[in-house]
Amino acid sequence: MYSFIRPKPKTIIKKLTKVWVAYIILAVVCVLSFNNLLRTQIEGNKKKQAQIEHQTQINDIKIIAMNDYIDRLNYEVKLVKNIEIQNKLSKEGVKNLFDLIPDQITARSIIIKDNELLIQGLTPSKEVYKFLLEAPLRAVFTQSRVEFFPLSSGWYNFVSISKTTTTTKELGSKNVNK
Amino acid sequence: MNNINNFGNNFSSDYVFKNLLFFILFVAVASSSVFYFLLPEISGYKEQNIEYKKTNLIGEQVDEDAKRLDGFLQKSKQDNKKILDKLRYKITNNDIYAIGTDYFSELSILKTNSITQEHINIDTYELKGKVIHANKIVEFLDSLNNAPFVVNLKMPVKVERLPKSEMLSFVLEIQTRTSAYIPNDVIKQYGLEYK
Repeated sequence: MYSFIRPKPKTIIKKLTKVWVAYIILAVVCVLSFNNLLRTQIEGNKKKQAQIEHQTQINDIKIIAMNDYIDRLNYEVKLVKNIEIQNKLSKEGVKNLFDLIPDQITARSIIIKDNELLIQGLTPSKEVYKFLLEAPLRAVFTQSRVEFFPLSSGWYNFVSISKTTTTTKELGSKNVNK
Repeated sequence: MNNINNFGNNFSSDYVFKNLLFFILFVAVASSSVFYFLLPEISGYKEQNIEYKKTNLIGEQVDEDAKRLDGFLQKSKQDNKKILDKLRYKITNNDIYAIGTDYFSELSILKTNSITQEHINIDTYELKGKVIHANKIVEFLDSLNNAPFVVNLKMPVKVERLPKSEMLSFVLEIQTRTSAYIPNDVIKQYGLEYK
């Protein structure tokens, strides 16, 4: 049989349908790919975030430990500096107390305590003691009392106890620590 | 079915209709997949990104603080090296003798007490001896700060003139201090302790 038109191939799914289905599939694939990309990025960021959080925790602990250690070192430095100041004051205090005793008076025994000074010695007269030793002692200490014991030579043995209610500047070791 | 429109073009109304249907289907599928899959993920990404940036900012700040503190600690150790060395000096009896022998004769040293307070070992020594002049005691006190370890005078100081002699006998107490502090494991782990 002869036909005037060329035969067209017949398919189950038409070309137009194929094109649109392809477009639809492409659109869905694009959306899913982008979705996947976002998910991957989110996962990546979560891992990085977890690492940063872990590092931050470590740094936090390190900061606490370092602060604690700095406080400790500062305490030690302060302690040593205070002791050095205390040593200087002790030296000055002891030196000043030794210097208080004039040449005319012989000290046989000296006991220096934090707030107290005990001197036992020999003085040619009570007046020498009063003018040359008691006056300076009263300037340093709040209380000063003395007992004299006459000797056959005319000289006097004396026992002097001087006290101060607060630590004197010269002896002032305690104040430094505060 | 081919028609000729007003502009003289051939078109098939069936073709246009099918295209329109497919277009609507395309838009419906595309928009619903965007709506159901993409949008929640985008908003999740945004939220996560904000969280990440916040965490990163905090992390950078904390890291900066840690570095600053580390620098401060190193500087503090360097600046106070002499003092910290003194406090960590391992004191022996010979060291105690060494600080006194230049000033005193017949020096005897007795350890009378040993305590630990706030991770500081405090040892008390009683020094007995003889001295030519009271000034030597003052010189000794003056030298305490130059000792390689931490030492201080403790009251009372007793000085007596020996009968029939120019010498003075003395009894005084000194205290030495050494650090017994053990730094935190974290400090050790990062090698930050004072050595």
